Amino acid sequence: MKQMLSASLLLAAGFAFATSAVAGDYLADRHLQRGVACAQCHGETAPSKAPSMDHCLNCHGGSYEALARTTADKKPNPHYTHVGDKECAVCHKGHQASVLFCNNCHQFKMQVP
Amino acid sequence: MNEQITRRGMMKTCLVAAAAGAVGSVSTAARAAAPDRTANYDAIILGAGTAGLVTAVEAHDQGIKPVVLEKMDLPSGNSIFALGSVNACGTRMQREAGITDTEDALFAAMMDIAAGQADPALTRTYVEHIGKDVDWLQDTIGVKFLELEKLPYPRLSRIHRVDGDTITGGGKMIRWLLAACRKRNIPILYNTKAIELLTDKKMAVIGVRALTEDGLVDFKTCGGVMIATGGFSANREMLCAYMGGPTSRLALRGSPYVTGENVALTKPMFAKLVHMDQFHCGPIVSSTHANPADALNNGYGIIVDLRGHRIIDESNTYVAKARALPSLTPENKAYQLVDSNWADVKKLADKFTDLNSPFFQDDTIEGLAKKAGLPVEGVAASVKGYNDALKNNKLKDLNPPCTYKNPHAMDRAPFYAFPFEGGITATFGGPKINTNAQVVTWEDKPIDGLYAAGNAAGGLFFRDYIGGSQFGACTVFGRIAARHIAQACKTGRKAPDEAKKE
Repeated sequence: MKQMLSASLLLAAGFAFATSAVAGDYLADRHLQRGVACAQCHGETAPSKAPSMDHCLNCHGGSYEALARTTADKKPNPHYTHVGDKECAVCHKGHQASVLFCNNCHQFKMQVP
Repeated sequence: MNEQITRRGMMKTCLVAAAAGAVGSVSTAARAAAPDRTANYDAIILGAGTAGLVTAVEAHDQGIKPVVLEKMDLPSGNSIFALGSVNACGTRMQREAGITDTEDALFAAMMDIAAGQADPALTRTYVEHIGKDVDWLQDTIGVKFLELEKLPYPRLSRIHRVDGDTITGGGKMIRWLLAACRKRNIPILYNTKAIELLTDKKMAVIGVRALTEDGLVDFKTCGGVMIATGGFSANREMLCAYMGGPTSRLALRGSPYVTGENVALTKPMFAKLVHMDQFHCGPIVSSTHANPADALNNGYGIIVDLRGHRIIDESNTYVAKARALPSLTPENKAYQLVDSNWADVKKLADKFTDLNSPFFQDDTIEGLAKKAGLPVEGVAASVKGYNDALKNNKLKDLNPPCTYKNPHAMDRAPFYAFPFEGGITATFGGPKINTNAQVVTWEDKPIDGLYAAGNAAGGLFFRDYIGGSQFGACTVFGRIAARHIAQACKTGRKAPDEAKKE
């Protein structure tokens, strides 16, 4: 009985997740809308963790240095900072609002896609 | 994680258990379960900051195999927060600029700034090595420095300022050091936190136990372990224990992850902990990390607390003013009030604006106080009191006195209020090292296989330091330790497996 309940809850959760993934406006939703399937970034069909930097860079910039050049006009450049090259998912959240890691200590006004 | 890590079979696990009496770990903390994995390196370096990465590069270039263990996901110590400069004499840059400076002069200046309380042998070692070490940073690591400036004593033409380009000089320094490690294929294992030192029967250090993302791993070494984990400025408990309550309430100017592993790991080895009450501090706005030091160090204006009262002699250095703030005010917060007689006020206002850091500006003192949310009467009385005392040559009679050598009236609009808190930059205390960068015991005996450098090590700094000495000490003692460890490897310091059999 317990197992059945757990399975139902998981299914419900999965459904809710899938719904929000389609209807929401988070990073993952925008990827999905452009035809990028979950596994293309996550590397697994039932994703358990955020995609790694390498996956992101495949389409975005090619390298961290090249990516940094595309945002060089921003002040400060979020991809070239004194804290080093953070994993993309630290700021760019797939299924919730993205954040700016810098603002743990600073108060920069910057939209993070 | 690393190809040198091997998963032990059942038989080996039994052997390790049998040898547990021989390979003990010295720790006052709860013993972690023995891991089922080990890794062997010639040198184990804890902390991917300036001291750690310098040690790693030099160790590699001495022909041995180092590994760097970093508890965070990237180098996250104080280096990346630093403006980034190296205090040095006898460098190629000085010679090319025609600057005459001597080791004796730098030694005297460093001892002077340390009120004579720095370890003379460590200070002497610093001045003897730093010239060539700055050249090494340029030639081997590729560090670029800005042109030398002429500054007041004790900095003179000694401050080799790292060209940070668009980031902090310290952040850039770490990028250069990481690139040097990449070029040499030096493994840097992130999210790997050393939790205790491993020793043999003679209490020689033969490795560390570390918590990795995959569980505990014992890292063994035939050479030695370098503690390059920084000080304890972000460890409130240690600050309170060693320096008292007010200091523990200082805001952080640097890394939140510099949490006293230098003390926690070495104290069980009976390391001689010195200068534990010593630290550097300065003003900071903790919500934005704007640094208003320029406003506190220019000889203009007054400092008021949240009640609008003057609280300290403004002629003090920004270090002294920041240090005193948590004792003078329960909030550890004050406002630097300045007027437009200070020529650079606009520059600081622009800096605060860039950082979205609040400051206040108005054409009247009353309007300024109102905007800042300070009691108008209190602020107006403080400014008037200062201006009247200046006119009557009675500044020294104020309470607290104001002893500006060349005081200026506060009478030129617009007026500005910059909020600030007292903040801790770095701690100076830690396990005392000798001139080989070996950690010593209370009896001044070097602990076999245990080294420390950078802000993890104690002995070199006291009271204050000449700007750029922290990076300088990282480089000098990191390189010295690497050479000593390499020598230990080559001359046959016992391999961990041999030690285990004893």
